[in-house]
Amino acid sequence: MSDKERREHIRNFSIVAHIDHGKSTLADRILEYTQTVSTREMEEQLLDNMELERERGITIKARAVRLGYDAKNGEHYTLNLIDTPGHVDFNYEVSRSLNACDGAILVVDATQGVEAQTLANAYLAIDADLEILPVVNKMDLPSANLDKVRQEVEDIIGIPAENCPAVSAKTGLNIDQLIESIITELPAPEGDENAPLKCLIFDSYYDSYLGVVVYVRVIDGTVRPGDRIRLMSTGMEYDIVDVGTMGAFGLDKCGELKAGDVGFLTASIKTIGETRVGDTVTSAENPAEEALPGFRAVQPMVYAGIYPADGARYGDLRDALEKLQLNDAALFFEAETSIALGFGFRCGFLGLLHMEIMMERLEREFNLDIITTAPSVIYEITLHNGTVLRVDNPTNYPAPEEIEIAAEPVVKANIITPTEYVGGIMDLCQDRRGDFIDMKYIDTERVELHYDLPLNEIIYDFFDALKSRSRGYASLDYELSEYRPSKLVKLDIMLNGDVVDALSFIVHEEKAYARARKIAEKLKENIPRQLFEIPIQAAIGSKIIARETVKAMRKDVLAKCYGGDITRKKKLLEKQKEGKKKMRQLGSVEVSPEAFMAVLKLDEE
Amino acid sequence: MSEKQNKKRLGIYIHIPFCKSKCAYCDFYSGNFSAADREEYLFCLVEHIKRLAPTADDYAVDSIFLGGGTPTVIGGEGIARIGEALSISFHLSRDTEFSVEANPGTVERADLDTMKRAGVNRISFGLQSSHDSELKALSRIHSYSEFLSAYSDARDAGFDNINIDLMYGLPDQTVDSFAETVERVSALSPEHLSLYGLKIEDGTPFGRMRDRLVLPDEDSEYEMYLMAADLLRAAGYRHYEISNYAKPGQECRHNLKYWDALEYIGFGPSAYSYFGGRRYGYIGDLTEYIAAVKAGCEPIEYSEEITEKDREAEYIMLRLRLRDGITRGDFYDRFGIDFAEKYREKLSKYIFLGIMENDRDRYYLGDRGMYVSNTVISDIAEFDV
Repeated sequence: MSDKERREHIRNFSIVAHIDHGKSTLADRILEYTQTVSTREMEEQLLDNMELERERGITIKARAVRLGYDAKNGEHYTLNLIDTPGHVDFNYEVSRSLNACDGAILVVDATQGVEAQTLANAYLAIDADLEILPVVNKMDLPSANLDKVRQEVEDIIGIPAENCPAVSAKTGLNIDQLIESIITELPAPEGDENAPLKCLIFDSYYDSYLGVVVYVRVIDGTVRPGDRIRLMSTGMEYDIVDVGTMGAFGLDKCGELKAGDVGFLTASIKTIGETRVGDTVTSAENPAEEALPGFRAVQPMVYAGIYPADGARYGDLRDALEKLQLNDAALFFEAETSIALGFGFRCGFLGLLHMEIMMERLEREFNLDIITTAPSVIYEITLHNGTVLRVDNPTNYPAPEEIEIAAEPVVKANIITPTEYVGGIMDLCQDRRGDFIDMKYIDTERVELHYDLPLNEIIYDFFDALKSRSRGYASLDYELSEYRPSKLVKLDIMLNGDVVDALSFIVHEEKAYARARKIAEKLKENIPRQLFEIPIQAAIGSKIIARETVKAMRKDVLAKCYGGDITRKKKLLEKQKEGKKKMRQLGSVEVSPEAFMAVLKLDEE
Repeated sequence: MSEKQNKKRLGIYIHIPFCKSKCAYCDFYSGNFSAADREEYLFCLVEHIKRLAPTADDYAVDSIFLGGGTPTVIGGEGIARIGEALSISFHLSRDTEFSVEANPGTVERADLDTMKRAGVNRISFGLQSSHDSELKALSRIHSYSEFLSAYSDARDAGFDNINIDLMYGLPDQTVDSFAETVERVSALSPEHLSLYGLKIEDGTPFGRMRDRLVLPDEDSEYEMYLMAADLLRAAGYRHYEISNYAKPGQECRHNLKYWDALEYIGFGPSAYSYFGGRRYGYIGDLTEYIAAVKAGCEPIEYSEEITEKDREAEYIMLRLRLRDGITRGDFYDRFGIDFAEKYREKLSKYIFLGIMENDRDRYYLGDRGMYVSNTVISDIAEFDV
């Protein structure tokens, strides 16, 4: 079989969709239909194999699987399905996964039509030069409107959809047609198996026996065990131990991977930080002249301090973060100390979802109670002396008199909403210091809004507020666009006269008063009365802008203590003592981890 | 019985688990039982007293307390039978304090006379409030005027040591209405007053309607507490325990045993004992109690050995309820430990905060400190759990 003939029998594709449009269910159905997985073996939504992913119904990290399919033309085909993360926090990973493909299935819900992430993902696929096969899903629902959705795909995305497959991933309707369309509509990979090696890394994970398992798409050349390879972004070299493909239930080793193939390689690589998504693998002996385009090092966008609720578990927290980092190169952490919270870590995340997932995994998989400080973006501060600082922790924010320019990250936000909620959403964006760019009617019922929004306005509770103002219908997509000078101030919170460093945050001047009042009120609600009166103050520099008072405790007593009460009271006091141990001493004030979290909690509405 | 000089002292508590009806706040074990049940219980109680008395052969009983429930439900005769059984089986001191709790709605003059003859020398009336509306809200079965006549009957019968129980922090109660109650009652000049802040207990009618009750807030309840303490102090009472006030020398000897961590034996369902280094409690069920006693068994439901560490922690917990507090010398005699030295840092903190007072070698909580005593005690006392 010639190189061309071999490639003709491969299809590398992704499935992209707006959240909840049925991407994972469709993937399952394809696996089942191609008998890669039997119905009996089938664990629902096999591709999403983290418990958390299944609960949230989203794919956190890309996975890939190889399928075999006998087409109607009598030929046998290899299909490589590369799953992509389904959230805006992971846009870069999505783009790399798409670059490993030649085509993409764009799933659109027959009842919902095109949504913000449908568009965003379609554009990402178009940017990656992929052929797009639209598929209308959920045809089993009574409210399915095939013609309307097909028309939307043509009008809004601008790709033909007249004869696109109309399926139900749930019932299996027309899945056979869809798979046949993958062969007929999506292109086979290009490439030259004899050219110098170029593989795109699109995912990797750490295995304690194999070291890092690197998922690659071979663009050109051939790679075999024993070959010496080089990672082009770092220049690091390794010897290939194994290559192979991804079966539904594990890795299948094979002798070689050639241009057009999707597979894995292992090379005794110790940390996944070395195998960066988007990097190019080439041959050390016969290297390619240039790397594949589009690589960039992952940059966390959101930072927060993470502390063990029980200070004694600092070591456990470090171990847990190290373990999580083994499989998540985007997770950044370094040790930091807070006067209020003791020893902990400054952690960087791709976005809020990424952060929430990490928090949940720390609590669930590692059984840790943690306290997180308010999330912060990175501010670029230019001092009078010309020094530029990147500040990800409010504690390190310079004094106002030293600052020449303070700049904050701004994102381009794309919001799609039914027309009736436009007013409320525009108010929200305005309230969040958004700059209106434009508004486009998708059809008579839906509108696409474009705003420039400061990232620090989005990371608090923007998404929840958006959902509540649109009864859940509006969808959001955003990408970082630039740093803009802004009137920022650092707000400090003082309890009984002492600044609580963990509660300091950076905020726009106009927002400072409202935020200060809200935080002071929340602290008042959540700090239990103590033996003395506690003033709560919010200050910018030395100027107090909000004040509340927690009154002194008046009553903590057992009125009666006779015979049998003594045993009961002993237990009560012992419990009280245990509760005390969990309290954080903030200066002279005791605050429970729960109170801390309540104050930092993101929902403000 | 003759009293020997070297005998240890002992208190006896007897639980009478009978009530005509349950009050809305009460979580003590009691019920409305038949006359036959009451008779059987008295019979058992006397048996139980006879059986256990020999274990306290080297003790002299100097306090007896009949509590409930409503002890007066069994009538003067019933109380006299118990008194008789105790005096036959135990060594009673000549000056034994013999208290009986009385519900103003269930005590007749004749009962009071019988009790007096039987050796009862202290009556504790459960009044709770001088406002009939508040009494009704608590589902008490008596009115204020019924109390007044019961009180004067008791005086006429010769009782010169009377306690009155009051409650504050009640639904819809105000600082003024409680002040009125305290003033009215102190004008009667009882020897002793107990003032209890209402606590909503699970399993009571109040517990079930917890969310619907309009209760005075923390600050108002504290105001009631302080106001009463001031009024009673001015009327010549000593605020000797968090909830208790007495004219000088009229402190309740029996209750002081609890707070001094002295020994006592309890009889009856749900009664607790602290005896021979152990604290144990009987089952809170009349039928099971009777069955066990008849079978010659001890109906113990809960029992714990009090370790040395717990003894110290309990002593701190109990003594800090008392205005007398803890003195360095007494503490050293009991535990061989210098209290002031061992707890120096914490004591200084509370003295600094004005929660604790220090009078030479004595450490105690003032009015304000008493009302936040849980915070202080849970910080200082180290229980052995």
